[in-house]
Amino acid sequence: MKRNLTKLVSYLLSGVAVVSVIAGCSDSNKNSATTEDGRVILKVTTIQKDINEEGYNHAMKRYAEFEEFYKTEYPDTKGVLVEPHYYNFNVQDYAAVAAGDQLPTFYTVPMTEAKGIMDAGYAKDITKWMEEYGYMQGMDEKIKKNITRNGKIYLLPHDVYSVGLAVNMDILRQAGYVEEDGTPHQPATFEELSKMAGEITNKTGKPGFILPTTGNAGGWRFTPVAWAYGVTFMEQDKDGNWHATFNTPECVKALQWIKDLKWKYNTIPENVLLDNAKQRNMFGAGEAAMTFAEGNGASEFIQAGISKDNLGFIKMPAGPARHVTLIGGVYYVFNSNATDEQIDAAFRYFDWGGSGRVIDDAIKAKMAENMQLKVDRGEQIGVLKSSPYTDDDPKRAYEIMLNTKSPEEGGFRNININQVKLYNDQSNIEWQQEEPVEAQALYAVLDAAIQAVLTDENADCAKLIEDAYKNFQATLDTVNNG
Amino acid sequence: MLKKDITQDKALNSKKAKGNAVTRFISRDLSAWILLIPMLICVFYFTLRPQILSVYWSFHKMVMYQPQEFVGFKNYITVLSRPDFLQTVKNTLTYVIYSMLIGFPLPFILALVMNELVHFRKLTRVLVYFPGIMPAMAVSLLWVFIYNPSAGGLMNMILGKFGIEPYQWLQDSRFTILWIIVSMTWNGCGGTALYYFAAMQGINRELYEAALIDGAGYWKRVKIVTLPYMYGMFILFGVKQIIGVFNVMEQVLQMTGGGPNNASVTLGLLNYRYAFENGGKNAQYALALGVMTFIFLSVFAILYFFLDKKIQENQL
Repeated sequence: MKRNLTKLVSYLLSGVAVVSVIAGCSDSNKNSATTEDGRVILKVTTIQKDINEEGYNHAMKRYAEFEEFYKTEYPDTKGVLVEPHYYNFNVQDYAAVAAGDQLPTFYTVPMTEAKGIMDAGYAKDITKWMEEYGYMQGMDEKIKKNITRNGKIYLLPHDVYSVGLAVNMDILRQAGYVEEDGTPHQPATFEELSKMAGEITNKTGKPGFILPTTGNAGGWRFTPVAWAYGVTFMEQDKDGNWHATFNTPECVKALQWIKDLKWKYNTIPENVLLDNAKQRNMFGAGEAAMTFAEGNGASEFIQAGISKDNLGFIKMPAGPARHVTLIGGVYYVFNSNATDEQIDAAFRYFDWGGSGRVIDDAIKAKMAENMQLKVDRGEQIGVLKSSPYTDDDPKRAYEIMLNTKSPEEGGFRNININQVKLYNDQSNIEWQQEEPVEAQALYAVLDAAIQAVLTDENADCAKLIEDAYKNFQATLDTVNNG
Repeated sequence: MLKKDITQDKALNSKKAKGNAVTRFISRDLSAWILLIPMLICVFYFTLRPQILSVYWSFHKMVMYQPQEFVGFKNYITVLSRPDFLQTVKNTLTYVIYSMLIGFPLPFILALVMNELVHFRKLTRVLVYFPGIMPAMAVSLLWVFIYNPSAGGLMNMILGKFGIEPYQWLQDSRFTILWIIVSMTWNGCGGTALYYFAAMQGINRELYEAALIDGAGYWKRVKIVTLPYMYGMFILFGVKQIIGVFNVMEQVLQMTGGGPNNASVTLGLLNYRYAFENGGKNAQYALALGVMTFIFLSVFAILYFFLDKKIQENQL
């Protein structure tokens, strides 16, 4: 009897295990577009409760407010349900998450990855909504081109930045590179930047300059320097084939500039194998005076330890051939499986939240509320992000006011504007988007060359560039052969 | 009855008999089969299916992780013809060589020491095994600090005590792999040493005593008693180590990112780069490289199981 009972229990447990395994492998987690009562489901990326409970609660409150607003404002619909979703774009896991249809309704991706996402068919055609909600008016032509594929629009610009230099005000002050009014010195050329960095090291004992060199970050940072030296990385012939074109003396000179930072000016830290995170942490911890950075990277530096009043920004120096910088950004991508109703709800959510193109008193109040939240979080307000829209666009003009004017003047600036004003002035500098084909592969081969010149005093820049060129051409050959 | 009908009947009976045999085979151990089902499903979904799919997809063009058209061996040819492949294979073999030179004898030496100790045996065992309980990533991070090339790095501080200039450690591309292997050995040799130690404990003491009576010194006793007894284990752990080192990835990623100038990139790291660093754009190459590595390591795995069986049967 007892034996039979044991057997029965074993069978039951096995049955439960089988059902659990099968349930685990089922498609029950697939994105649904509506609730059982017909409300449109909007899955919005939200900070996790255990990471930031206050931020999570605030988001939940906003979602509830939007649901109420939606019910009142669009009575002909059955309403909306805003669901928190915890996916943040990450290049390492994106493909797997997308293949498993586990993406939120919309999410942000860096400009560098947007093309691949469009190619893979994971981005929804949002042409209709972009025009209907006024996003196309006053948009920069280059940005328009970037978000368009075969005449259709797939991306919504969220954040646009240009690369400049972040500076540690205290270290620069110690070395005599800050004016009395708090304006950091702006090196006019890359050569002047090297000398300035070297002098900072001599006077303060701190590395004058720091740059990442691994995880493709070195190559990414190197490209605008090379452009300034007159380098063209690739060209497409009339048959549509791509050819690497950077095995030139200009590129060798650009690499030599990096080599000189280490071996001529002795201004790079001893540890040179740094990825983006390590570079950010070292700069944030006050272990270097200057580094390549974007204005919207201020929060990450502050999280790493530097105070908002000690963090300045200046613009990219000019090279012998051009005064140019890399423009990048973050785009909203809409889930290709999202329904039209979900996209509608998403655009209404942007308008309601103040990030759309609508500008009225209610939106101004919402924008001010968002700025206050940033101030409360201890973020630096004063650096002006670049924008896909012209400065005379009413929404953009209001953003500029909020970011650059002091509280007495109606804005939210919480630093001395002089520590960032040189970066904010983007006049007389060209903007260039990243290389069009296999940019990550290009950065990888350039990473290797940069690591070589920073770890070997006798490294031959010309040979390294020639090797990088050959390696990259091999990648382009793969692209050319389909 | 027609001949055709008789043949059909026979075939039917044979099928029935076969069916009955299968049913009998299953019903004989029905409980065991039922208990095995959840595990079989898991093994199929999480081990077999991904492996079979990765071989199948490696012959396809991929858009991220979605297979498109069949392209034959094109992905394999691309991987083999890329300039970084040969360098990576060379690096991986260097890892294996350094690992066999450093990581292979060290556990044996540690086991010998533990075997000879009279006092603090338990404490020594704990200390030897201690690095083994740390996760590989934490160990790598620890050793990044130890190898810091500035004067404040631990190793350079020690060198400084002897008046020696700071050394580049991981940034010296000639020896980057060596320093990584040292850190991996520190992490992994304790576990192997305990296995060796346990095996040494099983050696009949009388053999040592007999050797001692015959006038054998310590090293002679190790040579004629310990080493022959350990021979099977050496082969087993040697093969296991080669397989492990061939797959090394996390430590390199954490310590050098594959640098400087690709001096420490391994097949595992190259595979990771193909699979993840470009938003999954090169997933097809990751699959092709994975299959090639799998085939190569399968040879070692088969060898491992063969030797393991021999050792179990006391034939080695």
